[in-house]
Amino acid sequence: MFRKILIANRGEIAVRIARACRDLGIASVAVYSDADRRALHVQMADEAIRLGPAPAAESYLNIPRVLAAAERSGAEAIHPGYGFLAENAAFAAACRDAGLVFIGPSPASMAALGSKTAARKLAAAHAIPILPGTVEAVASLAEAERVAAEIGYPVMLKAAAGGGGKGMRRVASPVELASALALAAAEAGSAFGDTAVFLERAVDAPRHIEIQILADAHGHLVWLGERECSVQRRHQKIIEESPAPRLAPATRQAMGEAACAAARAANYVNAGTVEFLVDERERFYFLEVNTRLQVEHPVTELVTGLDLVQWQIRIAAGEPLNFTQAQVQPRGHAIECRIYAEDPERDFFPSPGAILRLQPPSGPGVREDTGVYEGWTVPLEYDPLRAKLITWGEDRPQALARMRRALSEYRLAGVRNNLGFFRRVFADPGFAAGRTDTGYVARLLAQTPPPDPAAERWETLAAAAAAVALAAELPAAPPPAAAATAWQRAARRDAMRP
Amino acid sequence: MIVAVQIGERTRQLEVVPSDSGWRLQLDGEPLPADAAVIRPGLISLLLDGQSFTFTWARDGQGAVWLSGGGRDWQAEVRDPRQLQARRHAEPEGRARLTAPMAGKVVKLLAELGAAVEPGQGVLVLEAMKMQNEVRSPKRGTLKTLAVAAGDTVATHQLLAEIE
Repeated sequence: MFRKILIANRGEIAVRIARACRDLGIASVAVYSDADRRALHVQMADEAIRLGPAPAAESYLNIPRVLAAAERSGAEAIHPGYGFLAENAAFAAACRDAGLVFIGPSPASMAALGSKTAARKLAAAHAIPILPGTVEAVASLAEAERVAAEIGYPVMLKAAAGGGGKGMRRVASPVELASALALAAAEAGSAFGDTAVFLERAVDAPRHIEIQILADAHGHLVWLGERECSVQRRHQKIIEESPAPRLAPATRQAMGEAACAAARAANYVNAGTVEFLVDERERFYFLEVNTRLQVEHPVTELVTGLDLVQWQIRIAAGEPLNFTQAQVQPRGHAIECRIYAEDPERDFFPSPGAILRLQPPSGPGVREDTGVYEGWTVPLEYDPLRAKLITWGEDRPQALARMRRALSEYRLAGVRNNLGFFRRVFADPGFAAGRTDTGYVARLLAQTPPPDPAAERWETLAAAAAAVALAAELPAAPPPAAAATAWQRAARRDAMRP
Repeated sequence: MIVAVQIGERTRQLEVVPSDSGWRLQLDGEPLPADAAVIRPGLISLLLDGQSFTFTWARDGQGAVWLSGGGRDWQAEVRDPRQLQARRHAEPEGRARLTAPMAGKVVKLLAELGAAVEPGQGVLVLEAMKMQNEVRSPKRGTLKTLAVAAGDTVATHQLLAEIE
């Protein structure tokens, strides 16, 4: 096993990995940019090394600086987390060339699966269903127009190197295509350093379901159930759960087998996720493979009882999986909310700022993976994800009830956030019934919120609390005698005794 | 002390007087029989008719007050009543001010100074946290002021442009 691991990331995932290292008795090394000197991950790791200025290109995305930090610290392995360099095959190769273990798949597997276009080719070659569209990146506007006309509008533009909805645009008609292509390419270039964009048929209001896989270097490959990730805004997941409601066992099994086929075809080792679109007739289409740890991995951890980050590290150290597919028996139900600094009333625009108050929930079945703390000013250079709130229950209704309770306990002030939006989702009978697809958020926001009979009372008392807080802040008047404590009065009496 | 607390469109007047056991409250001239306690700075407990209401509060750099309690959030302005009125009169009328919805970087200008703009038309593209977003004009008019240029970094609520 490794003695020391460098974590090439920041935020909640860097904290999560530092915790796994501590659980395994491995020393952890954080890296940070100038914007992150006070960040939580720097405090949580055993060691911390400065990378450079705030822009990601000069810090978290800068391969020579990350490798120099690893060398300086004496780390034997690098965990890339998600985002930044996590799916960069050149980085994985550079680690190997520098004598470091990259905690993730091999550069060859990443190249075969890492870009969405390469993965589409691989899936097609192994009889895994895909959506019609371009197999390669779009070379010109003329080509995009021709293919879109062939397969019919609406179409989706997606960054070949993409993830998380960046560099992704839905195009409803030919007039929108030119500007959408330019914006998608610019966003892809800014986020991934690669402007390649491909085009495929858009499926309206599909469900987005993914399979977690885990493979060791000794030929063992398992799938760890699915995650339903349909609740999205701006093409980014905000709620994930496992198991998926309304999914036939036969479909789940077929998706698990397709995921394993894709992984096997790419000689995949370590943790990975195979994403599928599922249409209203429960037909599924391969989308892509995320060759890394997913943001939403805790959902799978809670239902399987496995620590995926620990398994990533153990697999990278050469350990075999010590369980078989038959022993994977998910139990209960888990659901996650991604707490973002963004304003649901302004189309979920990011809203960076200082965290003035933070009081996270706790109690039975509640887990919070956070990257922030009260008093910190969140830098605006990076992703607006603040924390993940995950609940587990013996069944879905209990997991949802616990999430409702946790959301009511959660206090976060100073930055606009989506807690209020989540409270609305978890009060929605449609959500409770499992009626979600990628159009769910837009439909919910189009509805008038249900009346809250207690709203007036709460608002009045909030105003009273604000007035009391303000009055309490004023310089204290000389304390009246009555305010003295019984102890003080007793002491005074004693002092006055002859 | 009397303060006006504005939440949304509604302003309430609250009188707060220290008492032996904590604070005595009046709401819009009527007694509010709540038992108020400041647990610690930023955490206030109110007991009313045997029910427990707990609030966190904080004030940001712009003076806005953030309140949370019972799974609800509010943003309030807490002021002396005269101040509040003066502020309302000082607001400009008759033109649209485009301000930055978030801190970020101006990537591109989509309209020129003096150009006619339509409601919903993009005026500029703002990038924050790796997302590019169009900032659109809320009304029809002429782009009278352009307060920023491509490449500028802007703070939340900073003036971007004025339409008349």
